[in-house]
Amino acid sequence: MPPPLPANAPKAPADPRNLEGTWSHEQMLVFRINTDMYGDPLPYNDRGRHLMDRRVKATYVDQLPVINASAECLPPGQPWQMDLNFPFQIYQDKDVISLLFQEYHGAWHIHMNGQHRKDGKREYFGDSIAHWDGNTLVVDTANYRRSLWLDVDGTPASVNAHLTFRIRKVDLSGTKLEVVVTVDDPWYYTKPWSIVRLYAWRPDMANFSEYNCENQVGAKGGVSQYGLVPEAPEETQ
Amino acid sequence: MNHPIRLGRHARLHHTFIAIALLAAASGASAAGHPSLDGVWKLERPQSEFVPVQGQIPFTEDGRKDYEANKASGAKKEFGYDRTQTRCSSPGLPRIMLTPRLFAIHDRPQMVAMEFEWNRLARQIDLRQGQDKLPNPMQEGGLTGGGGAATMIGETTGHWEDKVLVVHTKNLSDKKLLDAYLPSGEDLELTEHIHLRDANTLEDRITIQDPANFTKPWDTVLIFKRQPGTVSQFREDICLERRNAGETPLPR
Repeated sequence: MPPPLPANAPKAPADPRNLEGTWSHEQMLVFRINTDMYGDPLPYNDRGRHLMDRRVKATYVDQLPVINASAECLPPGQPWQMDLNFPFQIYQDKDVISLLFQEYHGAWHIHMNGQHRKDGKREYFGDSIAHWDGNTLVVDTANYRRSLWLDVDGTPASVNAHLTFRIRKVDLSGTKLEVVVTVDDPWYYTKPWSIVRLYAWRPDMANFSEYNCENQVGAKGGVSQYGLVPEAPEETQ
Repeated sequence: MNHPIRLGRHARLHHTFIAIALLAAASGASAAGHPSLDGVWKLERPQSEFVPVQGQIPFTEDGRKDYEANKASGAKKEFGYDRTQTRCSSPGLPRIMLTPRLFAIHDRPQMVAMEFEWNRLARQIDLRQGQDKLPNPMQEGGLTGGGGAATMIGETTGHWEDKVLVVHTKNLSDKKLLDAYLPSGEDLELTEHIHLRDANTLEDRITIQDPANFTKPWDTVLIFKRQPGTVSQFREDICLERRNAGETPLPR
């Protein structure tokens, strides 16, 4: 984990609705989400449990981890992207909030007070609309192009999952960002469940390091040259 | 009965600040006084090669040799010299400025960020000076391989000189090209003068200094036109998917 922020670091904007700046996940990376934010086991249905068991076996028993979006240099979706202990920056105006991530050169655009798109197009980051509930930014994301791995071990969310992100500053100096993620996905779970993450204000991490995964993955042989294998097709909805 | 609103000193200052901010927004000026570069931009005319402002490109012997070899390979559609075309590797600087797609500028006091639609790349111009420039624990500690390794995008700093953003980039990798054909040396340094010609026209004058490939620094100018809308209109561009579908990662 990075050292504490120096005392002379610039302060976060005092406005609770101004989320701009550089942030970084300050908890240890969770490889597998076993429980929700209240400590209850994830409410898998049979389909979800079967898929998760298969992925865990592939990685830890068979030692043949399967290919996922991250490995293919594709946008892995918000939960995985935000769980990594690497910085991201927020830029916002009244119409759109952009989260730019160092890793995977991820870009998440949150459209304020809009409606979900109806043109049938889907993106890896889904389609995010948001409004303010007091000083909490409530983001509803749907219409994913590809099912998500919510963590490194492959906790799943389907393409038709609805993910809700409740984002707010939580301490008096505004130096912590809390994000509660609720996964509503009847395809894999019996009921919605939530996790919570904390992000630290890190102006010292404002300069991103380069992430040029295409230089490796785009070479002849692609991701398979690193020992990953294609996953058996998922049951489609 | 109506009571006149009485504002305390703090509230009056707050309202004054809001009024100044609104005026600045209406006039397209940033809080720091220079014209804000905020907005969505696009190359006025698509181009894949840099054109010198004056005369010819002042090649060294090696620079010309590599350039002509790249041209010859490109004519035969053999692009092994260009990892952007073959792998979707980052075009880096200055080539990313030639993307024909949209990009947005987020102009802030400590950082000017460029958010490119092309493969979702971002470029950062660090405006911090002195004490504000804290050591980056992610780079000094080597967690991400930073702290000195040359990269496609390099290390970029900038400052405002009146209405011109003066930008300097160094520590650029030589495993890329300057544009579709021009070679890039390990001592390449770029200086850019970026300013608004008018409210809807952005000029980027780039000075290229690379002793391995050019006998002297030379300038090229790119013109960008302001586009309507915001980053909301950006499509999620996945270069590898376009490449795999037979498209060229960047126009040739």
